[in-house]
Amino acid sequence: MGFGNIKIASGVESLNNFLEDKSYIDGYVPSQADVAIFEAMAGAPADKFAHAFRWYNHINSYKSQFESLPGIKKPIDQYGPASASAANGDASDDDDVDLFGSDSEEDEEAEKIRAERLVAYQERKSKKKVIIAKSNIILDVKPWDDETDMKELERLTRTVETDGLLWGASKLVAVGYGIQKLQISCVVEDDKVSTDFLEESITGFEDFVQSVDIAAFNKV
Amino acid sequence: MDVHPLKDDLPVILHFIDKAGPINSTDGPSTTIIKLAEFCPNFINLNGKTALNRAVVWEWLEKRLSFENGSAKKLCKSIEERLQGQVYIAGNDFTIADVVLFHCLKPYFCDLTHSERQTQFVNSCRWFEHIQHTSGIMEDSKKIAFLKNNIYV
Repeated sequence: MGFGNIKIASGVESLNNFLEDKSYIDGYVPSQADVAIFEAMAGAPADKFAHAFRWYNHINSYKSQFESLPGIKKPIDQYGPASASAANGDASDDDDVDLFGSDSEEDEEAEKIRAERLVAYQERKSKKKVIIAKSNIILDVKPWDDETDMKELERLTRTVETDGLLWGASKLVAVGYGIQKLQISCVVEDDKVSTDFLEESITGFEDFVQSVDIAAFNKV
Repeated sequence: MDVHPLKDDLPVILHFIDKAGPINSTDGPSTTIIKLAEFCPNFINLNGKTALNRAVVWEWLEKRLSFENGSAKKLCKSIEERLQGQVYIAGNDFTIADVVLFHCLKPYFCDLTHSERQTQFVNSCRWFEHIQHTSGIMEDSKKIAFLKNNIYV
């Protein structure tokens, strides 16, 4: 607990951070907690500590009512953030009262928000997993001669089936001297299907296929 | 000690604000609001302590009207600047301007994300959090949780 030495800049800084989202040291009305810190300060905080400065001016406006403000004055190291005692050096852990504990309704809400965020995060994470690296490959399948049955060759090529392989459009391209080659495209999942596998499987139809080349290879 | 003993009077004003409609109402509700605020017997200086404070209260009640319905963000930005150096809209005292602006901007604040609250609207969120804990301001609706998260610092 405590802001450290609030007479020096580091203490004022921790006071400034503490007051960033609070109007008073304790609770929602000016109290003796504010008075205690106010009186312990060496003077108005520097301009750069905007939040502390604002608080200081505000408390200063209550100066005539200091006596009548509610609460009981405690030593100043009993106020402030629970974790900022490092600068101070003294560990005052004898007091278990959480002055800044939020009420249960807020806790519930915070818990709910956290749970929602967790769900959203996991959803995003699982979505990420769905994205699989895929490639679009165009193969040139060359027959032995002009007497090869290209329809049968295409049919055989399409019989190659495996997980993660999807055949696409195909066409016959004239090479010359009446010989045609089969150009066929397919989409593969990189992790599951390798180009070597494709080439080997297709050249496996020895009666029809002379060779297989990869004409194009694009990441999707 | 209760600094703002408004419980009996505020509902009348809040009811009026509801009837006067959201931000875009232009039929001069500021005068009525200030008049009503004068009739809060439990509360002194709801319209401002000094002449300057009263002028600021009037300024902000009118400013609210100059922002059209969709520009709650602009209004919020100007409040954010205003609250950089002070606790309440009109300086060091709680006034009717706080009440009115609070109720106008409540829906907007509900929709802000936590990171927006902490990065763009630090001051107005502190103000909002403070006002919503003032007794008599939010009796029936649920409070908004404001969390300070080191992620956004």
